Amino acid sequence: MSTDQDKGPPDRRAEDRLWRFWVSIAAGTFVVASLLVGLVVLPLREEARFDPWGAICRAIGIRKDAPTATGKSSDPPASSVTWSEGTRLGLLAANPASGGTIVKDTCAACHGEAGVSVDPQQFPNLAGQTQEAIFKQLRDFQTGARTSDIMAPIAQALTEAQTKDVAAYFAAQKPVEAVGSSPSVSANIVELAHIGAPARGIPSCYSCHGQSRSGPEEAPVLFGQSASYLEDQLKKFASAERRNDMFARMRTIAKQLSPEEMHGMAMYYGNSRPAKP
Amino acid sequence: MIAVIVVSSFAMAIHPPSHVEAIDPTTLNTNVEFAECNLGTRVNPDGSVTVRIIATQFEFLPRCIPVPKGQQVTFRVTSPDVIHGFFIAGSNANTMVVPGYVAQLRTVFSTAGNYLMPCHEFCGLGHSEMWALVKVLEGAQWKTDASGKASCEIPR
Repeated sequence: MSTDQDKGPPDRRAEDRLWRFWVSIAAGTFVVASLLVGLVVLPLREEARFDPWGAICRAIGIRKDAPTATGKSSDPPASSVTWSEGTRLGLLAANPASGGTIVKDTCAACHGEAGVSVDPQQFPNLAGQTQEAIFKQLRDFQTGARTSDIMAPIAQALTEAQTKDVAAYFAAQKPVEAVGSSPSVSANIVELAHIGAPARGIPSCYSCHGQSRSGPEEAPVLFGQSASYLEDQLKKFASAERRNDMFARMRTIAKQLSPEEMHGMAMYYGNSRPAKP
Repeated sequence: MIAVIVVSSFAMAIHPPSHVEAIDPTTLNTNVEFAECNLGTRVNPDGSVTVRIIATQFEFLPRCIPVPKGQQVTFRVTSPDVIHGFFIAGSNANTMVVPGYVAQLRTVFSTAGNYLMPCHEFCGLGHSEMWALVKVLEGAQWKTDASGKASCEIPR
């Protein structure tokens, strides 16, 4: 009934069909040409050999060629700890109470039953340290990524679940008040800790080790450690004697610091108190 | 608009990188291709040059990247944590580095010199200190070791 009205007057139908035909051709050509340019021509301009099918696959994310892994990884990774879903769920499910039992038998002699070390210059305080940091270091001692004649056999005696429990126990302890009085460090050290040095590419310590913890999971709390322990670790990172920092983060930074700056940073963190929130 | 896009794509080689490749960011530290010893500039057996970079909070690894002048260089960049930016000032190399993907692009440097490579996607408190240096070298300055690896240092 209404078909005649929809299609317009009978004498214009032929003209209409022709218009639709050419519009379809034009739109189709534009789409095909765009796809060709975007998926084939432009990607191919960068390729050494002519492989349009490979270019399309790469552009839309189904690569037919395997990643070009030239060279083999002969060195073991800096750390084999991965922050995968399994690791995170395991840390959440850790049992601090059973960790406490292990601590009494295994860790307390040096690190103290409540995580306050008997000799902070040698053995770091663990009370209030983050669970992630303790877990990662224990795993690295197990795998040999971080070397220590004392810690390696102790850590190797623990199962992975036990390392998570121990980490959860220490993380739940009340952190020590940092030793010493007001910081007697120079202004440029405080600036380095809080602002960093953009021209030298040194991020501030605060950006990863601060209370906001905006950086990597494993970055430990630095306040409350002994200054000589911190300086020792910085020097070991700088010389790459200690190399269990993922993606060489600390090695890169420590290499940039002068011996005076390392000493100043250690004094700053070793002698100041954490700000009360 | 379309004309501008087409001209900049063809004449200036400015277009989105057409490479989509997934990688697991949580296990990146145990990935073989992006292992520490494989990072940086490497001349492949066929003579092509590949640069592998990890962008992480808050540094590029490696921080100094030597590349040859006048030769195509393939950059492969990825991130284990958050989105970073890959941008070589003064060249057409510019892409996001999204965790979970390998950002790959190819470019040719026609002028020797030092190029600043800042992170240009805000990535956290240390973002403003996150930069690397690309050294475009020519002639005898461009050299690799026996395994085809080239490296340089930023003086302290």
